[in-house]
Formats: sequence, C-alpha cells, structure tokens
Amino acid sequence: MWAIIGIVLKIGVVVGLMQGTVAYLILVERKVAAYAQDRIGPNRAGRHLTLPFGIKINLPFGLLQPIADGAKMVLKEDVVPTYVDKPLYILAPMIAIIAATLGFAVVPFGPVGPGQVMQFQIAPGVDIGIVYVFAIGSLAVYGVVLAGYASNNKYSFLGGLRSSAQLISYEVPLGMSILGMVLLAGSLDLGKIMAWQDQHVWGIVAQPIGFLLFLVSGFAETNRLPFDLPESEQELVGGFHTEYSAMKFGMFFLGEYMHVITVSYLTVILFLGGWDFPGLSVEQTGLLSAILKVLVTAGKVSFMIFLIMWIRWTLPRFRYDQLMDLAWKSLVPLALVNLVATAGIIQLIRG
Amino acid sequence: MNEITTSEFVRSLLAVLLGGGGVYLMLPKGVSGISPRRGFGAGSAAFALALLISATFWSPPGAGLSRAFFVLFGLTSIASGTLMITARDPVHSALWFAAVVLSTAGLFLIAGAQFLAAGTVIVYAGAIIVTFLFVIMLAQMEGKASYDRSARAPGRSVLSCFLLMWALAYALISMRSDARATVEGGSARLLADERILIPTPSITRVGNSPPQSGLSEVLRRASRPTAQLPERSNPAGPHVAGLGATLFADHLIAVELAGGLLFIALVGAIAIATPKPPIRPVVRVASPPANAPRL
Amino acid sequence: MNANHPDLKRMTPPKLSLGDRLYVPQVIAGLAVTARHMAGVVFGDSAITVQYPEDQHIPSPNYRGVHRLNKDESGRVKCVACMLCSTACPAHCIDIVGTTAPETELWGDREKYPASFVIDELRCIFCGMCEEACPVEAIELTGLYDLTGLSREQMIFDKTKLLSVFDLTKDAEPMRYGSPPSRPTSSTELVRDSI
Repeated sequence: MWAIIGIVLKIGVVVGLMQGTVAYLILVERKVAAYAQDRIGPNRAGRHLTLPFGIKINLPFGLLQPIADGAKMVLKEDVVPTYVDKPLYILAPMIAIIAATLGFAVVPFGPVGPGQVMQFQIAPGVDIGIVYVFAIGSLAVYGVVLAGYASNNKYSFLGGLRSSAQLISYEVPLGMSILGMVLLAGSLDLGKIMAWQDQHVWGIVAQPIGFLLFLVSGFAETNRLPFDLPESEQELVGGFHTEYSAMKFGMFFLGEYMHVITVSYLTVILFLGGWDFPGLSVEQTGLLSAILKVLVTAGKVSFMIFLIMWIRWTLPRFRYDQLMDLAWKSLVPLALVNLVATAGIIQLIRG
Repeated sequence: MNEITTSEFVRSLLAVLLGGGGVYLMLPKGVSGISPRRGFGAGSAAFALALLISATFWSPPGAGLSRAFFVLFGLTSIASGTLMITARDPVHSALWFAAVVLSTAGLFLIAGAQFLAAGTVIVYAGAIIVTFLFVIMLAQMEGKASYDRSARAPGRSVLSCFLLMWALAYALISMRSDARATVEGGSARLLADERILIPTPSITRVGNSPPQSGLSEVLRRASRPTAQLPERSNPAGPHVAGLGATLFADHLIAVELAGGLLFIALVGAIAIATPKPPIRPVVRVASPPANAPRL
Repeated sequence: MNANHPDLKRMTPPKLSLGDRLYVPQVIAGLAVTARHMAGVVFGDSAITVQYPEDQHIPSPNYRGVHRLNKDESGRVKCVACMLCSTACPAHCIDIVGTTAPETELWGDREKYPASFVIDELRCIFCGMCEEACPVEAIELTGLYDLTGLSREQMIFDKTKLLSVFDLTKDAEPMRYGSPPSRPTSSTELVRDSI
C-alpha cells in the first residue's frame, strides 16, 4: 500500500515538475532565439509588479512570462471547426501529451540500483529499460498523424503525412545508435548503463558515432528544427496544428517540450555519464550524494536542452528528400557499421 | 479431457450466437432494410452482451490490480478488434487495430513478457500501422470507396468465423476444466504450467544429458524437433538475455531462416524500386554548344 | 527560351568538400556564429532592441509618417489649393475645397486658399507623392510613426489637425525650403489629445 502511495507521489512530483519546467523552457527558448538574433526577448512580465498588501516586486528577464503565456493558452477561445473528425481531433493532442509523459516512466533522473536511499525513477527495475522508452516514443507519431488527418485541411494533412514518414525513418537509426552502448554495458537497464560509464568512460568517448547518430535521430523524433517538416510554418502554415487553438494547441506544445526533456535525459544517461562526475561513484549511497547526483544530471540535461535550442536557431530546415537521404543513406549504414565494429572490438577484447 | 457442463455449453453457445449476430448487424452492408445507425447500435449491444457472457469463462491471473487490468485489456482488445472490422472509415479501422495491438501488449505485460510487449508496440503500433495510415491517407483522399461502405458477403464470413471461434472456445473450455479436474490441492497454475512445459519424457531426458561443448552443443540445441518445447533453461537469468539465448540457441535455425527470407525480400524490394533511367524527349537542335554541360 | 539557347548561363552547384558533406564541421561553424551573437547580447550590448515606451525610436530623416500642413511666417497655411497633391495621390485620400482668398491685408498676395483640407490617413499609403507634387512646399510627411486612433473618424485628419501636426513637429523637423532637414530628435512626440 505504502509502495503504491510512494509511486503515485513520485509520479505527481515528476510530472508536475516537468510541466513547470516546460513552461519555463518556452521562456528560455524565446530568450535563446532573441539572443541569437541580436534581440533581448521577453523582459516585461514581472517588472514593477504590485502584489496584494502593497508588496512591490521587480523580476528581471520576464520571469513571469510563462504565467502570461499559460493564461493566454487557457483563456483563448477553443475553436473546433465544423468539418473536422471530432473524436480524433480531440484525441490527437491527448495522445501527444500522454506519449510524451509516459516515456519518462523508466528514465532515471538520479542514482538507481540496490542500496540507494531512494530510486530516482518512476518505475525502477524494468528489465527492458530503454526499449520501453522507444515503444512509447513510437506512439507519439499518432498525435501528429491524427491531428493532420482529423483537421480535414490540406496543410495539416501534408504535415501528418510528412511526420509519419519521418518518424518511421528516424526510429531505425535511433534504435541502432544505442545498441553500441547496450553492448558495452551489457544491459538495457539505464541505471546499469550509467554505472558502467562511472566505472569506465563516458559513452561519448566510447561511442562517438553512436552519440552523433542518437543526437540527430533524437532531433528528428522531437520534430524540432532542422527536422520540423511536419509543422514548417513557411510552407505548411502550421502543419498538423494549423486548425488547433487554445489549450489543444498548448498540449502539442507541451508534448513537444516534454519530448525534448526526455531526449535530453536519454542523451545524458546514455552518452554523457548520467550522474557521473569526478568525485561521485556508484558506491556512494548517502542522501547527500544522491542529491548531488540528481543535480549533476539536471545540470547536464539543462546543457543538452540549451544545445537543442541553440541548434534550432542556427540551422535551416532540411528539404524532404534530403531528410530521407540522411536517414536511409547516411545514418542507417553508419549505425550498422558502428554496431558491427563495436561488437567485433568487444569480442576481440573479451576473447 | 473432461466433458464440459451444460451451463458452460449453454453460455458458450449463447456468447457465440450473440456475438455473431451482433457483428453481422454491425458490419457495413450498403443498402439494407435497417438503417445503418440502428443496426450498428443493436449489433454493438448484442456484442457487448456476448462479451460479458464470455468474460465469465476468464480466469484472470492474480488478484486486485492485475485482475482489473487483465479484464480491462481483454475487453478492449476484443471490442477494438470488432470495431476494427466494422468501422466505415479505413483510418478509424487502422486506429482500432492500433488499439488492439496496445491492449494485447498490455496483456503481454501482465504475463511478464516485457520485451514482447515493447516489441509488439514498436513494430506493430509504431511502424506497421503508421505505414498503413500513411498509405491510406495517401491513396484514399477522395473519401470512402465502395468496399468501405459495404462488406463483402457479411453473412457467410461471420458464420464461418464464429463457427471456428466456437470450436476453439469449446476446446479451450474443456481443456481448462481438465486442468482443474486433475490438479488437487496446491497451485493449479503452477502444475498446469509444468505440464505444458514438459509435455514428453524425451525433453526431460534431453535436458539431463551431459552437456557438450561449443558448436556441437549449439547445433544440437538448434536442431531440436520444433514440435517439442524446450526445457526451461536458466529460469532465473535476466529477462532479455534469456530471450536472446533462447532465440540464438534453441531457435537458431528458425531465426536465421527468417533473417535470410527478410534479406531476400529486401533485395527484391530494392530491385523493384530502383528507378529506371527516365525517358526524356529528344531535343531537336542542329548543333548544341560543345562546351555546354549536360542538364 | 530554348534549353540550348546560347545566351543561357548554366550554373553548376558548387562542389562540396568532404567536410561540407559530413555536415558536422559546417554545423559547428554555424553554432559558433550564433554563439558569437548570443555572447554579444548577453555580455556586450549588441542587442538592437529599442525599449520602446521608455526609449523612442528615431526614424531616418526620409521616413514618411503622418502629414502636416506647413504655415508661413505670418501663420497662414502655405497651401494655395492648387489640387496638385490630390491629383497626384494614388490612393485618392486627399480632399481639398479651395475658395478665393479674402481681400484683406493678410491674404492680399494670394488668390486661393483651402477652406477645407482633409486627408484620410487610413487610405493613405504614405508614398510621398503629395509632398513631391506640391509647388509651395505646403504638405510634408513628418517622422511621426505612432499614428493611432480609436475610430475611423478619428483617423480622418482635417485642416486644423494637420496644422496642429505642424505646430507639434516644426521644431524637430524644420520646413525643408530646399535644404534637407536636420535629423528629427526624440522630442518628436505626438501629444495624445492634440490629434
């Protein structure tokens, strides 16, 4: 009974934190975009604010902007066009957000394993670990495809079509890119992969090509620039979410950023050592070390998220044929070569 | 094999009849006497009743949450399957298929087959059905075709399918009552499992034979007659590793054959899909400039 | 044009080096560019943003904003109601009713003056043709850009309003008289209730 309450509590905390983080990630994204374009970005919300009881606050950097954004999303009129396929139209944003949230269940955001003060993972001890993340991640495409189909609009439809082809194509290199790390660590369990990196080297050193492949495919899976063909504002108006407004649109947005968080966590866990840092090791099981490890992981994840935004505001979008060429002619063969080479070297070393 | 009781017989017959009639009513039939909506409503009601009757035969594993989830996933998978074949819109049909796959994956999870569940979701829900959707959306933009509006020979197909299903249900029910009858005391499930896993004495003999080494051992295990089930080797080993060991030791030949077949299919697909040199209209120009690069 | 026309210039795409085709070096170079810009904003002050209500944007001297009707030294409107501007206007937004000038000392040297001079600022495309057509430099476009109103009626500027724009901007933007004006300054502000 207590175990169930603990799990529910953990789910509540993690999901709540994620939603809050997403709200602020949108602010960060806008700031990064502004800085990259020699602008300042939102800096008004939160300035010269008078709270009840005459308390005056003056927050810098537009820190209350997410609240304004959220209020806008919730309060706007929720237009449902008459010509849409209504059940699917309503279902699509739900799928987007549910798939993005469920994937986080097996992602360890801190130390896991026997003897730790706490398992920093919603569902510890799942054998298949990362395969589960991929299974849920492969469902995220339904949100986009259904939104495109249900909207009954040519632009949305094209966005949905593009998305289905893109996500199927990039799931292949995404899955193969991690196999090198799985072979090295000898487990699909993300906690064990982190422990292996603590005892040996970080994944980015052991599997540089795998890291690159994972990063590129991860970008494509999150539908972000340079792979945002499903929404591409310039050609398809808004792509799959052209017909969506208010909170339904907001749910797509939330789903996208949660996907970014999950992909960043996975990159950090698989290739950047997870909680690994000089001075921290698997043997430490105390509370202080656990907190430190969670913070180190969060720091690395923040850097990854920043990197993803940085790349978004640097690179232009791929053309559709370039996108497919990149996946099938470059990434998949490269992933196969990497896999075979890794397996061969492991066989040679271990005898 | 024990005889099944009269109550079980009546219940199974009722379930099959109601289910068959319900599905027949739900199927799209183009022009017919009853209005499609009323027919669908009556059919789904009958089918739901059949589903409830058949649920009395289920024996969910465990208790509490896992029992609830078993019933939930079971009901959704059967209901989604029916909706898949009766849906008018092909895209809805594909989505109900996805629902079937997801609830089946849930049943796999309850049975402890995590890798199988995830694999099913990745391969079927994540890739194959998305490809279906892609093709349907690409090929059928003008609306529903005639074969979406009316099923072909709904009466005969429903009759044959539900007859087959009744035969299956009959066999399953009688086998279950058999297992219940033989096991007295102790855990029924465990004994039944062992009985299935070690069906013939020859398997136990093979398992007890002295282990050979290297290639000959692999070959010996791989060339086992497929009609027999292997002994449960290393039951405490890690889940995925155990699965891999089984696949690449016990079922090596099958895996290699399947791989070879898929590879041939891939080569064939590439051979078919390779673009032929495009036929360009001949440009009639007296003398094109010699240094001009070709287009 | 024929595909084999001799005047046709054939472009060949530039040959990509190995580094270009690998994407990665080019991506890193691009990231360096954006990083430079980001650092410039965060650590330096290379941001080009103008904090608008606090800092006023100063448009370039040839910016074409709200019109004004110029006055001469004795405070009369310079317009002689010749209709050249309303003829030149491609949007037909200028409406002038001219009358004979009274025989007083003040108007002695004029034959006509505008009894009414109305510009529909919502129709105007701010092309500056009226300014160029005017033989007496009576109509000019100012640097005022924050042209707002609460109704369509408010945006139809009559003679009084246009003359008040002159009073408002004559110090910041002196009349041209052939010589280019000095830069408008931040005192170019639109007083809310005057327009």
